[in-house]
Amino acid sequence: MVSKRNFVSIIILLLIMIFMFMFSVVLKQRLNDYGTNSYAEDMEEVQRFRQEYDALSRKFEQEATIIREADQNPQLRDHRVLFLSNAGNSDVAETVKAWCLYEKHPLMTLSTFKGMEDEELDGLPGIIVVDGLSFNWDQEVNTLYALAANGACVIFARMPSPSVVSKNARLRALTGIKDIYSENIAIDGVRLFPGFFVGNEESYQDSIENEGRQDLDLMIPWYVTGEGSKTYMMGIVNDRTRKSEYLPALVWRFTCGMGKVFCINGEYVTKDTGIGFLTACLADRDSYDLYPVINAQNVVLASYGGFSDENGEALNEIYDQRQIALFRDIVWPSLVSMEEKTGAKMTLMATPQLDYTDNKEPVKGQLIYYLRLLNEGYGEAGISTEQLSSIPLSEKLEKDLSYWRSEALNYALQAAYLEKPEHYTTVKQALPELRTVVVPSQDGMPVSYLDDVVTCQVATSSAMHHTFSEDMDLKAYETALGYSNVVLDMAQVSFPEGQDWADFSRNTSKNLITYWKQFSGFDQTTISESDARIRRFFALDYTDYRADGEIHLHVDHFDQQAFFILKLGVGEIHEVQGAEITDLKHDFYLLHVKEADVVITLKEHKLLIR
Amino acid sequence: MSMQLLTLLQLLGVAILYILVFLGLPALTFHRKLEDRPVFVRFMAYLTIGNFYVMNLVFLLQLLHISNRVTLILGVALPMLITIAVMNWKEWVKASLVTAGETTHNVMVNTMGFRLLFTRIFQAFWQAVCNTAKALAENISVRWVDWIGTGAILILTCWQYGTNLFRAYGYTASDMLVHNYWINSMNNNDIFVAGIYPFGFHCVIYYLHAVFGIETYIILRVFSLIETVLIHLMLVNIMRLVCRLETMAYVATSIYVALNIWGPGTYTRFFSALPQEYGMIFILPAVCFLILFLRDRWDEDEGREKGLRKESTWMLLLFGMNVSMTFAAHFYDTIALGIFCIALAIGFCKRVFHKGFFLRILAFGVAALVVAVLPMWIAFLSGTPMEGSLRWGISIMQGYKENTYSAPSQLQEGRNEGEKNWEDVPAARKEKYALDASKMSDTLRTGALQSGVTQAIASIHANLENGEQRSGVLQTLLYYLSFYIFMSDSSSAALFFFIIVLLGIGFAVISILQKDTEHGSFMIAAAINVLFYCIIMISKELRIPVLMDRNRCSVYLAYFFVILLGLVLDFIMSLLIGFADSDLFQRVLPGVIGLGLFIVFAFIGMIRKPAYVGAFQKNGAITCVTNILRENPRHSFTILSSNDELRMIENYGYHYESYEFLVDNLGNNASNFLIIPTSKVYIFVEKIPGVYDEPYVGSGGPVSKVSASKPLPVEYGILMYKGERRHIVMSKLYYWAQEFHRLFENEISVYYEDEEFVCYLIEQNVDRPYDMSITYGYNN
Repeated sequence: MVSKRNFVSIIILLLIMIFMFMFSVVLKQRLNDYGTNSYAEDMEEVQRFRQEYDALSRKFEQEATIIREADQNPQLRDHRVLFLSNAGNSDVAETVKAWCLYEKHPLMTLSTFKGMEDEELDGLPGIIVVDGLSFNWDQEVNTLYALAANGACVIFARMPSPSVVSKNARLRALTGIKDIYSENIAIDGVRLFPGFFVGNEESYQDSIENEGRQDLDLMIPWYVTGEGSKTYMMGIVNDRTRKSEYLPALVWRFTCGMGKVFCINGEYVTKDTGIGFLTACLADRDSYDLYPVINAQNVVLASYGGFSDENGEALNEIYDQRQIALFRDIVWPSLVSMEEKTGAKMTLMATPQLDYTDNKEPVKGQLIYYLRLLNEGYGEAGISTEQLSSIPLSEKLEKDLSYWRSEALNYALQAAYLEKPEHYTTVKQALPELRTVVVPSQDGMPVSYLDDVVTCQVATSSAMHHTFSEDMDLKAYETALGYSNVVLDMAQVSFPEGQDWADFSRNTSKNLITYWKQFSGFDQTTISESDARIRRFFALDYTDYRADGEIHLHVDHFDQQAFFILKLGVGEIHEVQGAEITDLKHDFYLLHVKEADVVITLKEHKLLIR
Repeated sequence: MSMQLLTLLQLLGVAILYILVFLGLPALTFHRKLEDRPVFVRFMAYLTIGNFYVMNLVFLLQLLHISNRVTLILGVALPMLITIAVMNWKEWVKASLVTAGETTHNVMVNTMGFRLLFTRIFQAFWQAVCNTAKALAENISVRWVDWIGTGAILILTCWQYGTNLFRAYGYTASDMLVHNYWINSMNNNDIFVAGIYPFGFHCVIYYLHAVFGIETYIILRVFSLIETVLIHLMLVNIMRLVCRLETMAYVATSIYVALNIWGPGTYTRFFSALPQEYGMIFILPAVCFLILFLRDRWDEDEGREKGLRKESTWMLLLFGMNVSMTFAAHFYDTIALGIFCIALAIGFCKRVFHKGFFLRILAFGVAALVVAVLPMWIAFLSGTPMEGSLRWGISIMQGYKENTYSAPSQLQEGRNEGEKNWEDVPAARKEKYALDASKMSDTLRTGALQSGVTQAIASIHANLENGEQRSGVLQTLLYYLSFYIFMSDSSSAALFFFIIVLLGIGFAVISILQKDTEHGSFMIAAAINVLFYCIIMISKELRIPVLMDRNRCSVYLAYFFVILLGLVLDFIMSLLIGFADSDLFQRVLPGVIGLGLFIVFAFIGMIRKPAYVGAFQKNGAITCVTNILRENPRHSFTILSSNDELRMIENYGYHYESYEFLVDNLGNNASNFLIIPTSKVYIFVEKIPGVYDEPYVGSGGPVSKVSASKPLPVEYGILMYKGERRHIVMSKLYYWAQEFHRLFENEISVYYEDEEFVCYLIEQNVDRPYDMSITYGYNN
């Protein structure tokens, strides 16, 4: 029998507990400013970044001259790049151009050294990228050899054909090729060694756990490299009698006189991910390398359709849930779970309707519901152009925006997912406050300006599958830009084709958790956060040098923050002034620059016992 | 942490562990048995028991191939516990067990709480601490002369022989590498890996290494000081036994340690941890225990005690253990002990040849030798050949050319695969070794070139050349004594020697006439003992078998001469202060006089400065080895160096010899890759190559292109790193590293560098190691 006194005490305790739980929830809802976009960018700032970027582009055009300026501080590193090719606008040329844009290298192009005086040759850039398949080796190899021997860094974006290499001894001497075992052979896999790309080492070879992931080009010329060479990537041949030093080299470095020669044996630089290869090569040229990166890891939920019940009956048959309930009770919790495991910040590109012909209007309150949840998880919302019906895009946008305004009038819609790039003009007209668009995976630059205001962020992965080439591409993007943009096509959930949500969720979660873990040193961002970083990335310029055990970095057009990757070949970091540093493993470090001038003091190697 | 501080910590660690195992555990076991004996006798007894047991335990376990940390610990702990239990069962073990049982019972039935239990344990512990402190304080108040004297000897010995440990980190004797190799092999239960050799010293080092996990090279680096301290303490102990004035034991030992009158050859071996010197520790205890046996047995006979005469038998047993250990450590020590025993037999002839004495001594002596020989005999029966240096020792006795090794142990490193035995080495190469070894001096070192030690030795050798030509055996002896024993180039020093001998004999006669028979007998024995060594020194001239070479003979002669000198000084001093009845006066005055003389000697420059005996390795190399072993997991690295580090890191990493590497390095001409398949490769380059035994034109100069451009001499083993050949190897290696740095700027770094030495570190991918065969301009 409970006494009255105890009964009252229990009741009071229960009330206190109820109040405590309810209070936090109420507070959470009251303080949740979901109706506004916390990542909205200031137009003035956007324009300033663009102006600085334009000024920088003009400066690079001027700097891309043959003779180096006499008043240039010799301590500062020469960032100019010479691209050698007689093929005009090849894929390699496009990649090199993009790479120079990202890494702030003034680019000049030559098709031949013919007719150049010695003085002009001396003034050529210290970094030479050559398309081996589009160059006259019989006539030019001696000049290139002399430039390398005098200290130039030569990167073979593509190797000359094996027949040319086998005939040209000078070319072999330039590239450090000791022997050619075969001009075209099928290898069993590819081995990527640590320290070339940011991230782990990899063995891209078929195995039980890697079934179905092999999609690399395995037909290569078998070059054996000799003394003075360091291999970053090699072919795997399942022949136990072959010692590893004889296995075919795919990417290697050779020291030719005073210069370094990097060779990429394959078509890796013909794709936009070639920027990663070029960056990785250049990073190992010297005792250190510093280059700017975006530092943004995006996860975009494209065409998220949990707002109307347009495919409710079909989904009810599969999941025993109608569409709105499915997205709210099954899909969203799974996404939150994935978000918690990966630390991702989600960008939800909402599509209130995919089919505008079924008269099933979006349900009131759903958008607010998701905006509230997004805001709690530091996410962001945007709009999607994808639809299954065939009404004009402008009409779709009008309907969607009408729904948006009825739900969240003050939310600044700055991001959009374009199902097709050509949707851009229409979207821009409908959404004047648009700052950035996300487009599905396509060839070309992963991040760029679409016009003076809007940036374009290309999907770098769908996370639905992760083949070997996709893994290599991911590493290349992360190395060159510290950037990845995973776009999950949620329209497949609303209108399933083949696989259900369970498969979709399992695959994407597995891939994101497993393969992105090695890049946890980079920041997770929403698409607008990423956009802001891209603008800063494009606008900045920098100079750097190493002297007296210190690495000095000066960032021009510095605004609040910038991100750089430091590859440290020799030495250990003792102290960093003006920046925060994160170890990305294998001698890569991420610098979060907080002041325009950064000084990295290196440790003098002190023995424990001296 | 500095290397010097680390060396100090290592020294302290090894010393504490040695004292714990070889002194502490026997003391714990037998302290009740020997509690009536003086401290110095107990000290010798415990050390004898500890060493004898451990040596033979290791021999047994090694021959059974079951030697490891567990068996080594159990092999000591179990017999110790059983012995303690048996010996002290009635006294306290039984009572303690009963108390422990009752306490456990009380705790289990809850009649005693844990709080009370811990309080009682703490009280018991605190009581023990208080009792110990009290006993120590009482001991110091009574034995303050011994405490001060022992402290002074320890300080002097550490000053003279310890400072070198902090100046030269490497091995100071070339054969220490071989001993290191042999001890390493014991890790695989492969004792006598290079043939049968007295392994007593190796057993002790191996025990410390295996049980406590200290790297062998660290023990060998610091153990010389422990050895030397013990050798000097034994000198103190024997004189404490035979001197009338206790202070004189310390005065005489101080003369031996600190005065600048001794020839460098008499003490330079003390700077290295070598078996012969370890065996020296047991010579004087054997003599002590023999004297104690003669004393006890005589007393027992006079008392007409019946039965086993336990006390004297104990002393005889300890004598036998020491005889056994001298044989197990080094044959020369047994020879030295044998000579001393003959001298004792003459001095104590009345007692030794008394009924019931001689046969007992002989029986225990023979039994001791059998125990020492047994492991070697078993190994010999199982097909293990004799080690080369034993043949050399025998050849010395057979009168072959002095200092000419027939199979130098130092050169074991240089044998080819398949040449496990000396017989397998081709005759031509044997001749080459013999020629090389003849040039080798145990005391010459690179660094010592700069010290007075080497100059003195050079002077000795120069004078000996003249001495050899002198006629007359006696004159030759005088020169030998002057040059070998005393750092003098005139025969007057030898006259001092003979004066002391004559005084010793004279005082002995007086003592006997004064009915102090034991004192007189020992003085006669000590005098005869040093005279025996005089005969050995000139045995070649006398055309009698040479028992040991003059260099080593001089070590023993100086050591034993100090005993005679101490006895003579003791006799004189006891005459001078004999009138004083005051015990305090008798104890203090000799010390005060000794201290005064010491200060006078210091002022006139007769105090010896600690000698610098250079190591065969650069200090930087040892520093690097220490760090490399700490930083890397086992077998994850390779050290590319001359062969000095090979045995030091044998069980921890891989080693690639510089010479072999340079021979393999064909640059462009190589058809195959030259790879070192570990992720880290450390390259040891001496920027100023050491002078390994053979000075040459340009010795001490830095590596040069001139040397690098010379072809690699076709040599073998350690010979490759001697003389100018080392300079050529290091020069080539240096320029190889420079070229490799040009090719792999980011992949090679300087791990350590000082003025004379540089260590490069190459970090590489083991799945695609670098081709180390590069064209560096000086390829062979």
